[in-house]
Amino acid sequence: MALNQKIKKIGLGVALIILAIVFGSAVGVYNIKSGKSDSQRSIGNWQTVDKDKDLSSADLLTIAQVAVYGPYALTKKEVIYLSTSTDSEGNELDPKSDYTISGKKLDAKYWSITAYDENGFLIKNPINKYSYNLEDVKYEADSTSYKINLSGTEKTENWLPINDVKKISLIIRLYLPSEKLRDNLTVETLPTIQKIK
Amino acid sequence: MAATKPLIKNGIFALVLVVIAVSFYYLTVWITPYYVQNKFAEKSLGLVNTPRFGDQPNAENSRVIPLPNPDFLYSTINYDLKDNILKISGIVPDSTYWSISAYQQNTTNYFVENEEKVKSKFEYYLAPEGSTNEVLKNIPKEKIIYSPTTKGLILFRYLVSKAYPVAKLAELQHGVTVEKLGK
Repeated sequence: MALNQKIKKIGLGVALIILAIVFGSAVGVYNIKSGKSDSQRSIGNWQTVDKDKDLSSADLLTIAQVAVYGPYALTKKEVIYLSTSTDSEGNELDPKSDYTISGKKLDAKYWSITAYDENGFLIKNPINKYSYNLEDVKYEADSTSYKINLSGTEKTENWLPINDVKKISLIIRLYLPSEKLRDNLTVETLPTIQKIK
Repeated sequence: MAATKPLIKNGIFALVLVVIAVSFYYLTVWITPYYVQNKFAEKSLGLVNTPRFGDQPNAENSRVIPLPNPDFLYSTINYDLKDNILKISGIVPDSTYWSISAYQQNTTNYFVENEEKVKSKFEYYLAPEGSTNEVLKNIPKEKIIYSPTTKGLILFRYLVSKAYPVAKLAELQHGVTVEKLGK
């Protein structure tokens, strides 16, 4: 009887240790998947690395999240990445809706806006167009402003297709941005995303 | 006194469980980037210390690493410095963005140079941190990349632009060479 009790006790102890291992690992995976970390900051609906932080010196959780969802990113000295999966009202981007991304030229050596599917891959579409950048976006009459049509249906100008996807995310890349832009990354300098229908 | 003994025992055991859970949380978070790098190395068809030249990413050819930039041509060198120091050289485009960047085994970036700093040609020596190898003796400091980990990744980015369409860039891209120098 006493031996039986001892075996039961050991069994329970081992089960609890396994549970602790599984629980700790599961919370780790959950936190990586959540995409939230202490190194992030929001500028309107855009997310980027916090002003005082960088990917090379970020916390372990941020390093893991970047490794899984956007590996081999560069540090802020070279590029500023901004991401969003919501419109300017804060509502999740709906692949069945149409949006207008309105912005102005960004003061960087190269900048682009790219659309990705729910797995972070480029979206298959009939015109093989995945992004717009400083060179190929069609500007308005003022040569500075642009409007990009984020939509699943064909548009005549600046069409960024989002066909047959469950979720959309957008990434702005600012390669070698000017010091002025670095210091003035605000809602006013970044593009807005308005739902049309 | 006899009644408190099991309580203390259970309390210590509960504390051990918390320590185990927290340790495995950090272990999971810490190990994930290494897992990603190893997966990528596996998918590089076993090419180590050899350049791999990618095509311009599109929806079909770019389904391994998330968030590819469709405006770039990428080249990679999946490196292992256990037995070699690597001499990496090539030509830099003059009027479009280009960069060479290095990532340690947990995928964090520890080195980057771009076409604004490197003109015309580049030549780098990739060595493990702290290496005092004879090969590096007469090499200017700015040409040596010291890797914090033995394994890692070198990544080249070439921006496809009006001045440098894909065909023109691909010539430069494929001109990159890697020479293995003895340790």
